[in-house]
Amino acid sequence: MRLSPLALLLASASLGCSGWLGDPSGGPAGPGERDAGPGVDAGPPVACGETGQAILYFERACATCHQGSRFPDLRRDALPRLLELESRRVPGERLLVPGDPEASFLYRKMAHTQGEGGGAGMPLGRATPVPELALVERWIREGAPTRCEELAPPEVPYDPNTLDPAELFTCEDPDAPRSSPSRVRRITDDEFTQVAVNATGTNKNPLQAPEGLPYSTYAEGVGMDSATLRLLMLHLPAASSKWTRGDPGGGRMYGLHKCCSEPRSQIVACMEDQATPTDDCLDRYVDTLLRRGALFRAPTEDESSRLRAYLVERIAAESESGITRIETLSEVAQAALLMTGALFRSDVGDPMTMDGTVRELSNTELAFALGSVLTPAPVGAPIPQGYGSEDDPDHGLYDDGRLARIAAAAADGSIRDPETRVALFRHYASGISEVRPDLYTGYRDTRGDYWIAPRLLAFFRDWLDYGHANSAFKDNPAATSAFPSTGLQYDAAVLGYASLQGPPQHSGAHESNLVQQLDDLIARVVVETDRSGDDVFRTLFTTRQAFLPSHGEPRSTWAYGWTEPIARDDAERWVTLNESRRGVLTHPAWLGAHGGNFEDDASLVLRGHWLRTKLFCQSFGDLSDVQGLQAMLGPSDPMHSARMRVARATEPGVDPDADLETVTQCWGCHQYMNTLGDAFELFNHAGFERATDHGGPPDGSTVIDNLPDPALNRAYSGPVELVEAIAESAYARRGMVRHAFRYFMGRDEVLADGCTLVEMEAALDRTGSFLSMIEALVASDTFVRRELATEDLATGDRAEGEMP
Amino acid sequence: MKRREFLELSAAAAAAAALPFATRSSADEGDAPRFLFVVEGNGFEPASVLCDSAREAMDEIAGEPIARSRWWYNRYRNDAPVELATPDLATSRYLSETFGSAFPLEPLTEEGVADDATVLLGLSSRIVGGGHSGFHGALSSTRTIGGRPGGPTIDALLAALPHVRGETPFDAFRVGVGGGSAIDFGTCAYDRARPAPLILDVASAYEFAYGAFTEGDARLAFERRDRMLRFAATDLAAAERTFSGNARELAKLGTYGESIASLLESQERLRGMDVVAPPAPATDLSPIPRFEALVDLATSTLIDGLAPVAVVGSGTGGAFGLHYTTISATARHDMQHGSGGDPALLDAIRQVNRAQVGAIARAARRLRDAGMLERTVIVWIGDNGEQHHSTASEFPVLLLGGSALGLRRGGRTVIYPGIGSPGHRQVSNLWNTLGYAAGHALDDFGGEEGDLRSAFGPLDEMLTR
Repeated sequence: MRLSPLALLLASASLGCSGWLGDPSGGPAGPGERDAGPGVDAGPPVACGETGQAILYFERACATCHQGSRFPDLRRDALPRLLELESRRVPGERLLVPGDPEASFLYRKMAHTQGEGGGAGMPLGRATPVPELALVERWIREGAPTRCEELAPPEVPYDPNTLDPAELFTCEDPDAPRSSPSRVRRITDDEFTQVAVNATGTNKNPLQAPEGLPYSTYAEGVGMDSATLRLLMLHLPAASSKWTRGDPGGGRMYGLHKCCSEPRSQIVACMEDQATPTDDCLDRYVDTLLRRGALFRAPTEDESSRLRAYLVERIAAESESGITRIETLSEVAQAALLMTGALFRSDVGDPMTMDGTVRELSNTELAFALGSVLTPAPVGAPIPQGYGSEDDPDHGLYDDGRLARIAAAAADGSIRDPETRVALFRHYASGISEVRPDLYTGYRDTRGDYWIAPRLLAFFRDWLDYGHANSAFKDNPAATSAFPSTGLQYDAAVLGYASLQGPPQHSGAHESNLVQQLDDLIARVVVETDRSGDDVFRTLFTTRQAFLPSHGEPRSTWAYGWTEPIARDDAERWVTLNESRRGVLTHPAWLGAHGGNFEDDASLVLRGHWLRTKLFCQSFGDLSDVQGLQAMLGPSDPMHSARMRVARATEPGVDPDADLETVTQCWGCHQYMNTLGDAFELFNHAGFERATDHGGPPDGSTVIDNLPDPALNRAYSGPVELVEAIAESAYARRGMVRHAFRYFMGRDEVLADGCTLVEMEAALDRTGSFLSMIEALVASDTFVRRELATEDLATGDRAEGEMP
Repeated sequence: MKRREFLELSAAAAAAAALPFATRSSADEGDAPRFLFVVEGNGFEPASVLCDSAREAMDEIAGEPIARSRWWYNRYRNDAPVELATPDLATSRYLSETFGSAFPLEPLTEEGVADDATVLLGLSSRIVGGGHSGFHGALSSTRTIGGRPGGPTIDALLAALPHVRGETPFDAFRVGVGGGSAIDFGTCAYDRARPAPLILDVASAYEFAYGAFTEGDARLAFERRDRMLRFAATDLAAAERTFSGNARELAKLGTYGESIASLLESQERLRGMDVVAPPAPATDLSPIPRFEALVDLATSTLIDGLAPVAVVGSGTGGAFGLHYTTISATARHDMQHGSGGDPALLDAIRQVNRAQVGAIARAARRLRDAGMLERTVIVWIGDNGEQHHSTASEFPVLLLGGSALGLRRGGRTVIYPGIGSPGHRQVSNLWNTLGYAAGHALDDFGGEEGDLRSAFGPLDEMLTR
């Protein structure tokens, strides 16, 4: 049963352009599921000989990008249409001429003989034609047959960015059935930390989502490998400590610990005091531990009895082993955290609700789903005493733990009503409060008073991808700015930027850091636009407001271009920045997160990449496709700004000494990034406004000609003009809608999600509110219904209960 | 198969994978190959491993003295590998006379292992991408994108070979010195998109390896873990029985089951062993002493037969800004950037390298004293390449040991031709070589396709055949 790791390793293919979700779902899948690698000729003979090989090659190496709206579609069903198509770059050039490779533009692209104006050679990122060129040549000479019925089913990784947004945002029949795939979801590291009620060290647990998933909320292929399990077990003692003995002072939880006179948890007290605890004591301990400490739902009879039996057995073993009662309780509490229901949340759907392959989530599952849109804390997670305020959305119900109202709605079934879900969401989603109920730790009085629920904020951090701005290394952060700086470690600008990334935390000084400053700005925009009816998207991208820290010396705000001192006062910390800043894309947290280490690094590429992929939802290949090309800039030069360095390395015709064919290949991808990022070169790598740039004035001008919203394709004098145009673009706003869908549903959108996306967009149109947009999602059937996939693993059907 | 057959299952799996084992003594007495990889997050430069006699040869190869150059990847004019007997491998008077720097390889002499050491120059690995860190690239010869490794690292492949793994309870012992987090997923990988964690917390690393053999709390924890895992397995079996979703989702639970089984099997193997645990390392050490402690701990796991492969990273996975407070007040990243203009910083870098080689040399000596050096290969390599902002054009390598595995004996420097020459070789060829050393004919390790791969197969100059 245990799969040989060697078999797994040898069964993995090393593919070329295998796209974003290159690792098929299922984690350590069964043997034989993937291509036998390595090498071109490995594996059993391909059906239809070279025709089959060619079809599979296009599928494997091209169709990840070339599918859907990405011209031309090179999936196997679309291949016959190639015969009728012409190049869009060079009109008149037929893509495929059976019998004549040289006349086939597709072939010439692969051979790098496409000529000037023909764009980059294919696949993108190669210095020289791929070895399969010879195969394709022979295939074309043989007449380019495009049918092979005997081939194994296609395995093209899905890329939602290949959908046509106009087609996607279409809802012909709002009543047509909608659903999401049925799944289980392993808990994430932030959820585990909440389960552990923030016990020391548990925030460094190993359950972070695997890199390579678009968002941490995705569950595809996420199981539990042995190394992660081994490391997780190291955190269990701390995570379970609340269930052994209540610490006086720090560790009491509402509903579980009495205050003050009896420091221990009520349910623990009888377990500790009674040498042989009564049945009632045992039952309550087991039930509470499961409901409030591990499963966060009612346990099944089976789960309760098993844990109880374990507990009883350990208690009986104490006398001979010398193990203390506290150690026994710790062991049982840790074991509870290893239960399947503790590590995997069910998002499967209740088979009792409907016939066929579509069902609805059970009440419990709905509670989990709704809760996880708001916070990583599971429904019923205990709240430490000392937290909470009148502004806390769980105020008055602390004994029932986090999201108590959602738990109540699940218990009485009202959660099934979309309006109830919307009301619950609204209740927990946001607020204005000095006390900041969304912050479990940290200093609240130096933060803004606007808050949104933790997962709502996490969406923005992940979508805008600025969460790492505090740890992005910046050499000489003020370089090229008006602020004089040597870049050395005790220079004022360097110290100022350092205190922005990591403010001193000692009594009397605990200001916010750069990431938190953008957090608080976003929260304010979301809250205010929700109330005012202004469009949240437009405001996010055009606001000149910023939330700044108050430090003794103003140098910590130089990155914002702000030179005035700021008093330790909430009103003072909110400022209006100067005319050169507009919205999140000119905020130093975003600029720094999407910036290099040096002022002349390729920050513009990072920024352009974000815009292209996260706003305009376009894929264009990956750095993993780059083979043989030196993906690097020329050396630094006092005469070469960052723009110039990047252009010389990636844009044909800029550097007369560069190899034209190589640079043409680079431009194949860089055409999608450079012109977008150039506008932001008025700012340096750390987000400081440039005053001079390598001997000339700073240059944020750009001409864009390849955005999918034609209204945006024009010249811009700088970033303000660009972001203002983006803020008005409905196309760009759809990018936010799609990414919000992906994040909160934890999966890619498909065409069938069109009606829900339309409803989300309509909510935005009506109210301008991000919260209303999410309400539309939460109210939809997409949120509530789950569909079982009809295909099974390649290992064949399995009777219920058999192990894979 | 029902989950309640778990106990029989885990024993069966252990039996299937290896001979039934009896109580083991504390020393690893077999003849299975062993590997220790030490990966330096900021890399080390070719000049840091070039001894005097190799320098003379290099001057000839380049056609002019390389003098104060720290790297020279585009100056290899040889078309065939130049194999040098360099008995002075651990000496560079040039470095001390010109820079006033101690030569990083000197500790090899101090520990008496210079004759077991080989220096390799000229190997490229452009697929890694260069820059500040290649993440998993150095050990996998693939490119990491967005944190996602492009393929397995060589340590994972070797650890999975049955005759290498044998009966050891752990497949590998992976630890490192890093930034703030407890785990690093950016250095090793089981497979494409499946990183293998490095433990960065010293206490966790020690408990991971030796928890089963220490007295008191750790021993109790070992037994407790056993019971907890069996409980989890039973609970999982019930969950699988009642699972109402589809097979693909059920498979996720299946991975959990496999992991539990794997840990239980480790437990069984550990239980059958009689190992004297080394003293636990201190937990508040600065990077260099911490690195030394982890190399020591890793070596112990090899000697004690706990793992067949160990990896120790220092500032890998992107943590290239360590503060080596015992050597310099300047953070490593700044050291590298300032080193061009400030000889003191360049010297500090070399001192860091020297300390690292010191730990490696001590590891080699311990292995030799335990009678294991001949079947253990130690590799020291950087994770980025020849310079700080690397082009990945050259990865200098220090190798020790392995003479009983078909590797030629040390005291040598081998200089490969440069990129573009038909004789050029890559790091992937080195990894192929280790496959051969492990008795596995590995010819195509890594992700280099088409003309990106200079040659398949091992480095002939490293093998005795």
